[in-house]
Amino acid sequence: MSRPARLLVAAEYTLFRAAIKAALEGQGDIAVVAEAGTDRSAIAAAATVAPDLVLIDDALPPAGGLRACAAVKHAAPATRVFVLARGPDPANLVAAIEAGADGFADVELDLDTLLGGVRQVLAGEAYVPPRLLGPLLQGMLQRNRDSDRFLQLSMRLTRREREVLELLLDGCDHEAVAEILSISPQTARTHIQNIIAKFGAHSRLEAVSLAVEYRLTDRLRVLNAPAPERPRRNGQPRTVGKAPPTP
Amino acid sequence: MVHCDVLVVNGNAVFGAALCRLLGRQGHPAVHAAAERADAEAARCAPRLLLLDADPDPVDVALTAAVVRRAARGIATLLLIGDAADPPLALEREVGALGCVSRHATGEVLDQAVRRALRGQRATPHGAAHRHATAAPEAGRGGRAPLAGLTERELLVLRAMMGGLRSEGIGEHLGISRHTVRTHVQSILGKLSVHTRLEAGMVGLQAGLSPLVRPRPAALSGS
Repeated sequence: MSRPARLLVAAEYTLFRAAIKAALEGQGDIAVVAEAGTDRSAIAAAATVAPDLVLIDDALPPAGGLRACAAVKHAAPATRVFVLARGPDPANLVAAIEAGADGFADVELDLDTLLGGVRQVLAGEAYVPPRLLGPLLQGMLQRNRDSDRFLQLSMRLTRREREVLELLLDGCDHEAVAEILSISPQTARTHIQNIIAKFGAHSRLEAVSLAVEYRLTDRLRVLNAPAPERPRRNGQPRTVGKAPPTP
Repeated sequence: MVHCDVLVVNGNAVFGAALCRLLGRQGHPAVHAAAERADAEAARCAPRLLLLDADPDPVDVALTAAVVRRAARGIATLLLIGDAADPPLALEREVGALGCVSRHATGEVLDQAVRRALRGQRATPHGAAHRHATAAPEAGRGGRAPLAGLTERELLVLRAMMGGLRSEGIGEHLGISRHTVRTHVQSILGKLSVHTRLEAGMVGLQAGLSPLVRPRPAALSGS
């Protein structure tokens, strides 16, 4: 490498950023060219400075580092991103990979091993500590299973319940739902209780969290769209779900 | 025996090791150890100063300070804390610390505090440390309202709530009591100007906060 790789360090604590900078100084191949202490400033700095790699603490305030990770990758896919997590949690690792992270390590890792992982990612490889590779693969398989399971649960919703859920995801309470759908508040409440029960959740918040987690929002818009007209076999148009008109 | 001036004890091994590099560059040879190995390392290196992370349980912190003091007599102590505006004075007194350094402080502030502590002097008075912290460009939790007013702990509790966890589950996950969780929840509701956990969770979701524990669907019954 002819010039040092340019690093943006995105972590909440000033002292942590200073310490990482000190660890890299004098090594010659990596230079910290910018720092950020919040997710918003990390995204802005990445756009301004165009670093080769962004080292992101996943606890970056206020919304967490994975949000910054996804935003940086979306804006500049060639930028390498390395996520540093507080613990070796496989679910967190899967989330980081889904957010586009090229490298992942937890803070229990030896510092020199971490820097080696950063260099690997700079060289175009992915990095996951070997002891996390098994949990990562298990985590991704589990994620697929959970996603399928949730899809099955959500297929149990009636059309009306899907409409109510879409409104809940927009932040409506049961009274707003009742007004928008022209139903009584009690009916709206009943629909909400049914949604919670069908999801096996214990609260409205958990039901909504599940829907957000498994990206039901986008699917709902498609499912809740008005049914299209389909031609009959004999060439006459027919609306799906209704009885054919009497001749 | 390997000589060092400073023993850094921090559960975050990356932070601890990197702090040692920083301190080394400032002329203070330092080694890092996890709490469980702190006394062994103190006996090995005979440090003159203990830089002890105050983040985990105060009982553990006090215990670690005590075992290190037994292994390295005469060692001074500095606590590494989160919020310089709210120093844990009781803990400071209990472990006999010469003061605190905030994680939001700059490397220069750390250097000054370490030099003073090695001379047996108290760290820069808290007011000044706080000024340093707020003067640093990315100090604290600047950024989008309404989450900007929440403390680090409250953000963790909110993220735990968003995964659908109840008080007990949140407490277990964060290693705090259910009562403490409820106190945090009340504070969060007040700061976000909402009445229910549901509304607080919705604020978090819409701000793009990621849940601490990813919610998972219940097992299917029948089928």
